[in-house]
Amino acid sequence: MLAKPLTPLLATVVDLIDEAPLVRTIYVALRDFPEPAPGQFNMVYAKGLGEAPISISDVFRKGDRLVIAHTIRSVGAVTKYTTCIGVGSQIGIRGPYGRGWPIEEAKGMDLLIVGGGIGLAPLRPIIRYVEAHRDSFGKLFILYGARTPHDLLFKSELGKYANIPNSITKISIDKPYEGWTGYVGFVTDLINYIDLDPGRTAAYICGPEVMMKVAVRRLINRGLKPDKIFLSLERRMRCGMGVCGTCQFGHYFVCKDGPVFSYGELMKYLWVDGI
Amino acid sequence: MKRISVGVFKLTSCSGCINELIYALVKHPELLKLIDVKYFTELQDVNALTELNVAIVEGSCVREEHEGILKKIRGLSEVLISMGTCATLGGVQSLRVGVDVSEVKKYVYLNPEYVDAYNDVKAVGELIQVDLSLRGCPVNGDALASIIKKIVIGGWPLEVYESLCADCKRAGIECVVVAKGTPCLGPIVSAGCGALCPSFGRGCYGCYGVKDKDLDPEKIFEMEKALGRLGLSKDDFYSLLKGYSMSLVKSLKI
Amino acid sequence: MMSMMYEGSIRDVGKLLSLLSSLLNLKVIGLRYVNKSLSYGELNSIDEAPLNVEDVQAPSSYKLVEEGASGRFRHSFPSLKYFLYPPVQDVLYIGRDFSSREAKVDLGDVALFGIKPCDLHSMKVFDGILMNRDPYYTSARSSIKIVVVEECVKPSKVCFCGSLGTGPWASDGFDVAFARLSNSVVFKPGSSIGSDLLKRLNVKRASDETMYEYREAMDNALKSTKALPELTALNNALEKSMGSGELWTKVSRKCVGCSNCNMVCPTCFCTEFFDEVELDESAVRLRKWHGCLSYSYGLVAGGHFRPKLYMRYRHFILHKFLFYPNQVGLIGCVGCGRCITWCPLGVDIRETLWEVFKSVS
Repeated sequence: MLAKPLTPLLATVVDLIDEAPLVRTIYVALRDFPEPAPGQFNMVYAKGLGEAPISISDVFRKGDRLVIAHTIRSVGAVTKYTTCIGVGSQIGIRGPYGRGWPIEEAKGMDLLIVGGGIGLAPLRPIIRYVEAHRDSFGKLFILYGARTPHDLLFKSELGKYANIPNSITKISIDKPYEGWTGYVGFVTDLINYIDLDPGRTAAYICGPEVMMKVAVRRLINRGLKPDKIFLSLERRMRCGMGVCGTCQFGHYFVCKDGPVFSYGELMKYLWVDGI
Repeated sequence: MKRISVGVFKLTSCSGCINELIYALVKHPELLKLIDVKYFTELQDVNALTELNVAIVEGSCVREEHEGILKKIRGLSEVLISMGTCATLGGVQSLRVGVDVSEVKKYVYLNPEYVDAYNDVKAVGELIQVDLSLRGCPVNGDALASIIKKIVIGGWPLEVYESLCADCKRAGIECVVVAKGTPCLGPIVSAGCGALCPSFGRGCYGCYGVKDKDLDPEKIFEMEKALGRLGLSKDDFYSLLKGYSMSLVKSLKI
Repeated sequence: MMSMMYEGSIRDVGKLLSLLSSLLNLKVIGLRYVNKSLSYGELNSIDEAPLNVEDVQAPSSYKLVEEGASGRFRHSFPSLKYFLYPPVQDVLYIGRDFSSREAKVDLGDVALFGIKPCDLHSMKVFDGILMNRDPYYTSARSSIKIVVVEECVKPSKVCFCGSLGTGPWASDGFDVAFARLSNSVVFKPGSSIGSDLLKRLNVKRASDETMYEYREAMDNALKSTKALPELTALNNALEKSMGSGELWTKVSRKCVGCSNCNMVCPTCFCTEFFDEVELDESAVRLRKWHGCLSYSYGLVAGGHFRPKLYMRYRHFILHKFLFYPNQVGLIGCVGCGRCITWCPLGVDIRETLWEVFKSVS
């Protein structure tokens, strides 16, 4: 029979980083927790308030404990709570859930990462993975955009991506901003400024759905194959294991069949408004 | 756990929601340990208009003075809750909208000149930003207690927007429209009361107000037609909407 | 349908019910009709079963008729999910110190009695989604040891199981099926336990005349419940219609998003979780049914994935016909017609399907 699938594991907050307005990364330490794969998510439980699906933005071991970073935008009933917790606070964690980014399959290929706003969070584990297995992959392109410079995540780290061998990082801001000397425009525009080899590139996209759709169009136009473009979808989720039904997208349960899908899998539904 | 400062204010209303709030505090006396009541004229003698974590407003706005009070409260509070159908949607007094108020006053009051009211009736949200709207005539005291607890913890209540019918079916109540032919506004009205009237075999008369997120005038018209077939006149139908959903009647242009 | 069949009388149906509790020691659960009200519960005798009432159903109208009833009860709004997947359910108790305990579901050993073929089929659909995934459903479902089905000799005006192969008779997944004919009752075993049970009743092999009457009744019932376009063509049409917001706005014009259809549908399983926090800082997590016609369905913090009503209505229909086959290998609609009867606005899924079919084909 099933274990206790809906019981959250008690986790202690060990670190907090305020990334951007309303966005925080909360590091929790856990024992006896399965190691999440890049692109998976956890259900984060605030006692008495509820659960929300949260992207895992980093994972590492510290002694016998697994430290998992959750990057959270506090806009909802549960996530609002995260603005008032501190180091030492306790939250509940269930997971990891879902199908993450297929990275092993992309060995030997060039990788293109396209992130919009908080969408960089679930993509960061890919960057980590590539750094750790640098020789297994070809070129690495990181395209990242946010509304303003303040809204960029992982600010202290973004500058260092350029040091990853054989990589190109480009960052954009939606509208002109005082002091910003980088690119101004949508992150998807940056696709036009990189030298892609469509036959040997796998793309990993996460951001607002409109942005992902534009990215998909551009990449298809550049000649990428639908089954080499991967998107991570957001939906209302309550259980994480395909029983509450609220995350359905076409015939998929985003929580268990995704959240990462290839464009090939989504082609039928992605362009249907409100499916 | 930090205590939160709370103020409770009343505009034009029957005080039924304030009663519900007091009942909720009596039922859960521990709640008083979690809140620091700064202003609540129905509960205590000494009141101070100061900065507040949470302001709760009952009643709708019927004269200039109210508008000033509301703006002042908004300026003082972090979170502002409109409590009940009057504050959230206008309430029963909206039935007089459309008629000259000086006429209406004469029917009710011996000395109408003492009554200060303008022609319109406005919901709180028409004048200031509202962070959380609670419907109901009166509000559901248990829901109110739960919300206060969640705000004290540092969270926010999970809002579920659905029709009264969802509660009605979950409670296993046989639909009064389908099985008895009794007119019921449930399908177009927000859930929250636990389907109180249908549980006694009555039709819902819409005291939680019309669902505003997913309905447009055509849908309201469909409902009017369906209830018309059961004998609810058009006048009665729109009177119920006006009496409990005035601000939506305005915004939906029904 | 053509396994060995027996005939007996209504008394044998009563005896069968008694055997389930006396011989097999099962709690017999079915719809009870007591004090003129109908609800799921333990059937203590056949007299409590709704055998002498008729449900007169039409879009947006339901009447239980007692006097002069032909005794053809089909169903009311509570489907099996009220029993197997309750409307509101405790999930988790969390203590002050964060210690937690998951709720347990213990229904004992149960026999389902008198359910209709459409509802029998709805369990297969539910199984596909929830079995061995949802602990509470899995436990409730596993408590069902025996299923006795009543086949529908005279379906109602809203029934369309014949179009979907989910009725009016039962084909598999039951232990005993019976059908009430004019002067006799025919019995059909669906499992070896079912055969054993029938051997203990005073039933004989069905005569040719009885079998003729049974076949004719089933044939008529099938004809009266064929109400949809041919399924492959229908599904092609639905697939093609997916992107037409205009069409779906048109077919959903009467819908006000009240979610009654979701609540009465025996295969709608969506739930919403919520917390009740106690003042000692302990909490109870609960879940309740949540309909895709409700505005919250698709709502997320900071956005909405199905903001318009037609999108949610379209999901309701497409999920049953297009998405369920991908998810569980079965069409999710069982043709019971509850959504038609219990829609207060009179929205009729058959009309929707025809309208889509005609405008796309």
